Amino acid sequence: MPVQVQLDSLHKRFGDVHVVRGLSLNIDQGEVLCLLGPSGCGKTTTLRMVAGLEVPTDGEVSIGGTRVSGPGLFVPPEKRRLGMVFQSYAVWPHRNVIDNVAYPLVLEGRGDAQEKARAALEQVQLGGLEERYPHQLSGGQQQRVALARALVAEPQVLLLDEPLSNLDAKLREELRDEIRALVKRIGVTVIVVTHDQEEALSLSDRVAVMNAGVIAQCASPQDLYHRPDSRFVAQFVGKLDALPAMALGGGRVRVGELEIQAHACKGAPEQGPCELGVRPESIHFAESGLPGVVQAASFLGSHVRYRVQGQGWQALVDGEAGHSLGDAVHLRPQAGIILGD
Amino acid sequence: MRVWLERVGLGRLVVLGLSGLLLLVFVGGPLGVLLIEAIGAGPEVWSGALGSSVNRQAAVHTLQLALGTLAFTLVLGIPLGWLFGASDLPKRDTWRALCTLPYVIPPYIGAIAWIHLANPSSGALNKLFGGELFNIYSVPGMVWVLGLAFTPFIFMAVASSLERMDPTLEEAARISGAGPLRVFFGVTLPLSLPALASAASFVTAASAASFGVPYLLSTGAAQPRWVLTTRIYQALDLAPATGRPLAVALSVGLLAIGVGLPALGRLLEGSRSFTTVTGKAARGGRWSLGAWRIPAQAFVGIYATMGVVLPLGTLLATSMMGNLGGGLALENLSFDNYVKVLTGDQAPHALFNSLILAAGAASAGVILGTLVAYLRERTNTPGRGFLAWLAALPYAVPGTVLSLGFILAFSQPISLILAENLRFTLDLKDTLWILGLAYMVKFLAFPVGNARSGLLALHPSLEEAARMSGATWGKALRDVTFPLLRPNLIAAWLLVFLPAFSEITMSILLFGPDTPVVGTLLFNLQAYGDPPGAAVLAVLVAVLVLGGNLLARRLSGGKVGL
Repeated sequence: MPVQVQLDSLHKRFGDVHVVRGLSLNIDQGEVLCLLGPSGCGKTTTLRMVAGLEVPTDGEVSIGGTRVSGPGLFVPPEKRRLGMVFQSYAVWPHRNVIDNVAYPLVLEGRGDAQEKARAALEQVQLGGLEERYPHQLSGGQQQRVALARALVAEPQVLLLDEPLSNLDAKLREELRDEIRALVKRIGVTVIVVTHDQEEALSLSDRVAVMNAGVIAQCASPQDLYHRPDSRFVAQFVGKLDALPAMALGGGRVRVGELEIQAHACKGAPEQGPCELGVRPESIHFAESGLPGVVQAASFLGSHVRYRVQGQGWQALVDGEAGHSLGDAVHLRPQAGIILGD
Repeated sequence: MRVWLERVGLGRLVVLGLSGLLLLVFVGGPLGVLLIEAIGAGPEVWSGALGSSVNRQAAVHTLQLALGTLAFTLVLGIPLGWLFGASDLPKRDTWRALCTLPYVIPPYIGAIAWIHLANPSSGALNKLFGGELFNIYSVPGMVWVLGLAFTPFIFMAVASSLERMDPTLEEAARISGAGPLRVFFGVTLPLSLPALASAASFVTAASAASFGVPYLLSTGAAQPRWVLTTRIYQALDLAPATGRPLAVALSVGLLAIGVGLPALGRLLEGSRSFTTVTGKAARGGRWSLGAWRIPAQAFVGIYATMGVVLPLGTLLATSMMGNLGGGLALENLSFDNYVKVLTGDQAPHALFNSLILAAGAASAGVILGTLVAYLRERTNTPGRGFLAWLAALPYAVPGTVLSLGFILAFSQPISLILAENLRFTLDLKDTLWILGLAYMVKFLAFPVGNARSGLLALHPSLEEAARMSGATWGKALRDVTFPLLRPNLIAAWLLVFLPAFSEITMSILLFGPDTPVVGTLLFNLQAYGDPPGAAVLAVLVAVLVLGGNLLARRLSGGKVGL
């Protein structure tokens, strides 16, 4: 796949604040890439630099093989042929649904703006609501209008800024699957910004985890979850608890009486005392193993999540109902991550 | 340079740069020249100004007028505010609407009415009671007229802060064991203090800066009581050129009182801001007046009579009288005066000028104000804070001082020679332009403020979404930002148009032989022998501003206007 968006050592300063610090990233055509990170990590600023809504302090941006921003060059947002969905949707309250969606085509002077806009609305399942005004729509419907408007002019790249954060949990999941199916059907390149790791993992082909203005790791959701490069990524993506362990070399780790094979982060000790990160679903109750005491239990519907306290550690464990507070239990980790610094 | 231009956008640079330039020339220019003149004034100017007992007295009168009006409005306004905002006064809304009328009618209209009612020789009230009981040509007379006109500012501030106050704050005090009076003085009043303080400082500043009322109440007097604004006018009127240094010196004194006094008040009050405005909680219970209902209604009724019914009735009657001495007999009343005024040469000309000027100033002010607000809220241009401050400054400067600045800056032609055949000449003296520019500058604070609050309520992504859809900056403004700001901008337009239409303070200093406006004509008629004609114009002005305010209220969804 050819590279569709290329970011080359991007920097952005707002006064004294250095928000993006030399970020480089390639995004392939048709790929859904997610920028994930805690608030203030520079992910939205990066997206806005791709959009042309922020001017990079340094570095280059290319879209579809054409440089749009760099030394001596800045292409304004309206000339970049992009589509964008904003966190607040930014559906214009003084225009009805069809006029919102048709606007990019009207600006291009296309005669078939209305028909194309109608087709785009069908695509996001809003057929029949053309004449409504935004205040007559639910949050989810406004979101779909914004999506249709962003896609109607067949942009080179679709930019999504926290697209689902204003929706309730159930709708969020539904729309997430729908967006993924839609963009894959069209084959458009997508950059999504989110702070929600579940959203990032389920929506994207690759996730770039950002921290303090740089990319900590860019990988597939599976790699990110099971084979993180660093302690930051391991802890930011998914739940993780650290158990005291002993590295034996070659990824072998002894934890309590057990010996297992684990993934080692960059900078993890090859041998000697270490911390083993474990996910709640890869550690189980057993007859023998690490001894601990049940401290808390929360019923989550499909299972119960227990908090178990051991000597110098505590861990979340998913299991069947049946353990009570104060019960002495044994834990057996199945897999883990040897954490670095 | 080229890249920088591309980033900012050429159109954007030109439009925003031009608005900054206009602001610097027409706001910074007059005020800057005035400042330079004041700093450059030699000791002989100051000793000349301070040596004259008339000037010293004028300063004293201004101080008396400002503080007297403040006291008057507080004494009337706080009880009225409480009655409207927190009590169960019967027919509250009707009373309130009636009592709010002086808020929109220019105070000089009240002065004209009270001259008919209480001038010492032939005032209707003096005749009624026999003798020279009332003398409106005095500082107390001025306080009376201005106080009646400015009382709504106080009661509106008090009433609205009481209404929007979270009722649980008072309830908590009641539960803690405080009685009703203690709750009022211990909780309610202190919580409405910030709103009250800002209204009070406005009243002080506006009274010190008022020109129309003290002027009308001095010109016909046997012993005129000059204040600083009227002295400045005299100095410029009697000796247009040589009077300027004196006018500048007096302006410094006026600024000290008109701007310094309210600022001092704010300092004493401190920068306390309570979050009493919740916006959600409407006042739950109202205090029951019980047997006090009747005296309370009488109190409100007296204010409504003195502030609205009596003056407007007097003007209406005067405007219809064939013979001023003839009284209210039916055969003495007709619309002949209206026909005479409206078919003469003077009034149509002045009305036309005022309409053009007010509409022009409002339109230009809204455009410039919106761009300044955009510059302030939507860009990171260096100096944007200064420009927004500069745009709001003239409203705080007394009109007399501002127009003195315009005279100093623009009364000679200014030529800007760029090249041999390329020169701009700005010759504004005695033109409609200087009046229109002065109006726009004076009231620019309204459009800037309205547009800023509109922009703050508008998420930037609405405009960005248009850019991402392929719209240039200008197109995004036209298609998205401006349409969404429209209610704010219409309200701002009327907020400039209405006071500009009936403006007198600046007009009287800046109008020329061919550029009479409604205010100057009205003052001429009143001062030089045609009181019925003046009354006709006054009634027309009152009707127009009332109608305009009702329109403003409708168009802005209740945000501005009556």
